[in-house]
Amino acid sequence: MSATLRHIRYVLSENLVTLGAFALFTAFVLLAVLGPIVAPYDPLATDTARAMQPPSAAHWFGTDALGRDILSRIIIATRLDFGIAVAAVALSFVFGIALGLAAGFFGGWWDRIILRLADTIMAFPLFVLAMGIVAALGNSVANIVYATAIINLPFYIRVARAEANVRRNAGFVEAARLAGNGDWRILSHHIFPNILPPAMVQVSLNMGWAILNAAGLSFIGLGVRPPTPEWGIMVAEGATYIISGEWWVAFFPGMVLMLAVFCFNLLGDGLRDIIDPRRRT
Amino acid sequence: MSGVLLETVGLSRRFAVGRRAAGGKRASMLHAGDDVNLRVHAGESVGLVGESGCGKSTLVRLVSRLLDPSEGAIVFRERDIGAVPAAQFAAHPERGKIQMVFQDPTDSLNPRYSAADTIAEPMRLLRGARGDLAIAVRALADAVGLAPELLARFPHQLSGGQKARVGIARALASEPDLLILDEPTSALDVSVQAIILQLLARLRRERGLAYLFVSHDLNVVRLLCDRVVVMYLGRVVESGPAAEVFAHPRHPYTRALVSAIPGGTANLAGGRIRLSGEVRSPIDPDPAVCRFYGRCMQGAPRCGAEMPLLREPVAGHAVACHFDR
Ligand SMILES: Nc1ncnc2c1ncn2[C@@H]1O[C@H](COP(=O)(O)OP(=O)(O)OP(=O)(O)O)[C@@H](O)[C@H]1O
Ligand code: SF4
Ligand SMILES: [Mg+2]
Repeated sequence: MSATLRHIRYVLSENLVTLGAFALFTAFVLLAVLGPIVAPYDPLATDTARAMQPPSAAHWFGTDALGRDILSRIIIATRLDFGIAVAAVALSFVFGIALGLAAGFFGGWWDRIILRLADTIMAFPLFVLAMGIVAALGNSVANIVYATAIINLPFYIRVARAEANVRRNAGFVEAARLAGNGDWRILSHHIFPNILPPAMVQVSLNMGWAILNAAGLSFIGLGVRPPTPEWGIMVAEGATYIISGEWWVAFFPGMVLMLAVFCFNLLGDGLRDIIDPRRRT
Repeated sequence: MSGVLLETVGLSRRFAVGRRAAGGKRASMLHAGDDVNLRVHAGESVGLVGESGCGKSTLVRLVSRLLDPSEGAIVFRERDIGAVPAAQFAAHPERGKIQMVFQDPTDSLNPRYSAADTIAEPMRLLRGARGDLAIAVRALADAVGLAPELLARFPHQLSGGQKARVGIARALASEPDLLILDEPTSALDVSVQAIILQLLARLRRERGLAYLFVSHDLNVVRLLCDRVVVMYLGRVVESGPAAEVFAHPRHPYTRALVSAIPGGTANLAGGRIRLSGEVRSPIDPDPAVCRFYGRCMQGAPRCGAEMPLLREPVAGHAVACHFDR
């Protein structure tokens, strides 16, 4: 275990960009966990007397049209936005990897059916598909999670399928058969751990998309509804004021959203290095 | 050398290749193994030689139950194991008794298993060992000359020779009776090859194992094997005691092989035999033509009309040629 930690430290010290992404990620996680404690104001408290104030010492990110503190709303929203993304990605990871492994390893009918499923999902513009799913299932946080999970499913299926397909005939899989492993054990003990690095990269990239997707759905009025603090809604609410000069209402939530996506994308490369044992020295 | 450990009877394996011929009903078939009768006695070391593509790996993959035969039986310790599908053989009681050392030590090790994990797995899965196997793993590592501090390492942290030792230890972990070695040293540095071969010879002596040893290198086979089986395009063309086959090869193909051994032509009249002519295609071969016909220096019209069958003109030394000497 300490060897693993040492390895993580080694990779991080070697790669400053990854270190930065990790720091940012940690900050987001802390905000998601500690949100209500660190937020300076009540994110729902309105006060027309201090509406539309530009950033100041009292309100770092300014206030919105109802006089709510934007910084507090952004902090509180972290838990919801991350929660949706984590739940959605976890769902698509579990189901996508399982389906992709079965398709790539067993081939034949399994492969044809599962690949057809992935292609069907991919045939739609993904955001439009997500809109359709939420519109059909109803406007709730759970349905945003399902919609986001479904549109991400094909990526995991493809990664797992391609990797399982290559490794099905790898020497170490044949050797594993001789060592007494049946199909399921080969999949779980020999192939799955070896597809973790590419899958983790996919997870990290997907987290960014998932956050953007959830925010996008809220932005167009599907999904989370006001007055719940959520980055997408905040951008939508602020968008109308950009022309009249009140830029901060949309700018700060937009920046944070962008930062979150950026952070996950950078994290992907770092994760791959940490998980890949070949990088271990 | 007591009873028969392994016997194959009329073992064949064909692969469908290419698209179906226009108008034809069946796909073309590549005959990688044809009517192979092979016998390995307990504790015996049998060498399998032949040029690249003649079906040596296919044959040992059939025997090690990684591949299903098209026809024929594989009898191991008096049980027909050829009928058990390869995909289900992992759970078969004989699984641990036939093991294999692979050609490429790097490719055959799971990159995410430490050396100790790799060696312990067959002990758990095939011998039902439970709990901490550190002592058993160490003992086996010691037997194959792997330093104990290397056991915690992953394949990418090991040298080629060390990986080969891990592969050998894994194959021994289930206490097999028959060890199949498919060119176990060809992927190694020349300097390591001799050491690994010595290790294999010693392990066989110590453990009374039977070996089925595939090699390109006839000198190695001569040194390590009691008997030798020569294959050509999927068929056995000659088999017999190694000393005898090398001293008095009967089949024209074997004579050509033996004459090409560096520094080993002294006992053959005529010096080195150079083969010329086209190699026959293994795809849908004519069952009435000798596979060696066309390249054979002794070929005669009869060879194009009748497949020579394996005969035993001298007890224990079989040959498949109409005009053997
Ligand atoms: N899965 C497969 N599908 C189609 N053809 C195959 C397959 N496996 C082997 N073959 C063919 O079967 C023949 C025998 O191959 P095999 O690997 O057994 O030869 P080999 O004697 O081991 O050769 P080498 O010395 O190069 O390892 C070759 O012509 C090969 O192309
Ligand atoms: S049967 Fe004919 S072609 Fe075949 S090996 Fe003998 S002499 Fe040569
Ligand atoms: Mg081979």
